[in-house]
Amino acid sequence: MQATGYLWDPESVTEDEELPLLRTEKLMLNMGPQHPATHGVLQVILELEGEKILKATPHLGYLHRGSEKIAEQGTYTQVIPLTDRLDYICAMANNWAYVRAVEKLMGVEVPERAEWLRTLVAELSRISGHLFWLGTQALDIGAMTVFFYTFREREVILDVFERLCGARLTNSYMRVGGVERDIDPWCIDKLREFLATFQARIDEYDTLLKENRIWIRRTRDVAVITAEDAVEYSLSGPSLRGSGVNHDLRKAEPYGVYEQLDFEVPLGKRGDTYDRYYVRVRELEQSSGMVRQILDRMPEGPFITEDPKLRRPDKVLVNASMEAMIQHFKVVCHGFDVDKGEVYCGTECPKGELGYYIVSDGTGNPYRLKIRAPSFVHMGALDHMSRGYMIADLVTVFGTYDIVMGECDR
Amino acid sequence: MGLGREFDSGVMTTTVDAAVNWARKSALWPMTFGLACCAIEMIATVAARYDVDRFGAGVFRGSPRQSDLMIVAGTLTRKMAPVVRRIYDQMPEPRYVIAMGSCATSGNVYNTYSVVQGVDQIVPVDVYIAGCPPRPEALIDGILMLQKKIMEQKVFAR
Amino acid sequence: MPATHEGAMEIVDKLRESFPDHYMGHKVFRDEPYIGIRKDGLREICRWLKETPGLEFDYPVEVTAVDYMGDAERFEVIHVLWSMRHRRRVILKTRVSEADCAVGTVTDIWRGANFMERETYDMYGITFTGHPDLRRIMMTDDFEGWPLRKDFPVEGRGWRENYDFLPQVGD
Repeated sequence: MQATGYLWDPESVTEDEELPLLRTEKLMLNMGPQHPATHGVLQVILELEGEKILKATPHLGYLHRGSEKIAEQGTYTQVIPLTDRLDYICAMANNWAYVRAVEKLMGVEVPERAEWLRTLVAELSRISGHLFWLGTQALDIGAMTVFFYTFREREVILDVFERLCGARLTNSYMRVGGVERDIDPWCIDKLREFLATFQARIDEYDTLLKENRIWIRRTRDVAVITAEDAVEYSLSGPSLRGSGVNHDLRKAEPYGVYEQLDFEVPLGKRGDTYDRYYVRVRELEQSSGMVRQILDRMPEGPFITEDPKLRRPDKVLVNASMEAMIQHFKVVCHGFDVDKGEVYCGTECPKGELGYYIVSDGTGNPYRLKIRAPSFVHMGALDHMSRGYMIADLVTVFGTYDIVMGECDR
Repeated sequence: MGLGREFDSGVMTTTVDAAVNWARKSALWPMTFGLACCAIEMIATVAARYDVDRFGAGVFRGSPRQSDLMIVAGTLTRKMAPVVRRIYDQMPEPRYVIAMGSCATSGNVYNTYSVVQGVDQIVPVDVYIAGCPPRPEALIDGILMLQKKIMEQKVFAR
Repeated sequence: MPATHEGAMEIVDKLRESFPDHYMGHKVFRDEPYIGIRKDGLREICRWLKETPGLEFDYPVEVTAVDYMGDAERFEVIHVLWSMRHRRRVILKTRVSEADCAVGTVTDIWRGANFMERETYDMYGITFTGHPDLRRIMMTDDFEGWPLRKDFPVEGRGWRENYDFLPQVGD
């Protein structure tokens, strides 16, 4: 290691003085995989000049569980719990993305009430996911109060999920052809109570953060990405919309009942952290508006398709009739066969575009299931996003691109 | 407090074991070691509704050298295993490990090429918590079970 | 605008006119074109798809592969592309044999394909010639084997049970 610079002109120094040396070689710093601020197990090797980041190389794979390999062994229904564990904060949205892909491949018609229910839980997952994001982003930057407030709201939504499908977090609620069960009146009342106070809560978060000088200093002009770069790096979701690109799969390729709902897609302008924060908080408002519309307008009807290959018969019939028992047995143990073919289907999840590429060989197991995870793709842009900023800003970058390692590593 | 006999004038008799173990169990400082989905339930346990700070275990330290409890929450992959071992080795004794969730206990459904089938292959575990993910109440139950285990330890006799 | 069958056939026809010797077949499924191309023409066709006005596929959605064990050309490399302006998708499929397991990279066309190609390399062993930094991404650098190939067992080949980093008695 050689000294490459001096603090002042060597000529002006006499012989008995010692010259202090300023070392300017690059510093390599390892951050993670265990670190309080990395959102999950992520290792980043930083090349630093002082505190400024010259290059950030992410090392992934610390949570690689082989979900795609397991999916090839199980039936199509058995893959649904695996999809929960991808973006584990908003599990229902992942379920829907997968189930939509299978339905697109098979050409299954989903009954109307099921579509309304699916949209309802997907928007609730979006609210839950964004609340979690807001709490942890604020916690990383130092605003601890927001963390406790958002988790308080989130608990209400998790109570509704628990009543609806049995699990708070990893709920495998969707099935190919519909949903698992119908919604309770208790859940609807609880949601209405929640919606009545939710706008006031969002205003509370705004009061704490929106014009807070410290928040603005730490998020304005940090991790800026331009619209062209964002498109080239394949960003999606609020990370893309924060740069001003108007791309939302709910509007571009409408699915569920989004065409019948009245909502806007918030856009940012400068592509910095503050704009992405703003987009997500406004999305909270839009989602709560959508939930209100769905609760007002949801029609009656069956919650799963009548197709006997996909639907489990009522338990009363199963205990009484032989045909129903055989159907139950077949649906649970064998599943259903899907014709040969392949399909790609992308869905707008809270983190971005979650896509599934499914190749089927005519049997009941997927031949190939590729999960296009938005967090993995956003990781590809981490180096570009963090160059030139300080180490403390790296923590902000993890939060603003909303990276979930379960999804990134699968 | 159930530690010993109390007299009127603020004097109490107890054993050294009971006093030391009571101090250890009431201030278990966990380390932030969330790997996967169970980490979310761990964070929810720290949040306002399930407040694990009531049991003394609310101060999550970032550094292993300052903590005495490692809650392994989530799937342990072989790539991550040396890191877990190194962190466990850095913790000062007395140290405890809770394996939270199915993946940490035995690998869960992930019987694949990259997942270690249970964190007890790498570090010795004191308490296993079942669930996928376990509810925050289950995690608190696990911490209380660990506290009971600590109370039964002998401080001097090995 | 929603995807249509005519919109999909338009892309197929344009590609067939411009690259008649690289085109190998197509299928339109749910109004999206799935076009098979020869692997020599992959980079040219991708650049053409990005830069031609009227097509403008500027958003790389995915780069992945499928293993058809038993076929002469064992792997199929798949590129899924999206056009922001025209709001439609195209899927390109290229066959690669095991002996000559390499295909051109598209990272200089879309930088977002960098990590996607690294993952395909890690899981299947398909080399992307011209990639700036082709190394494993999910598994460790010293891992042997290509996990998602059909002849690789789900439980692996013993790598996960190798605990040589644990301190042994006598250390």
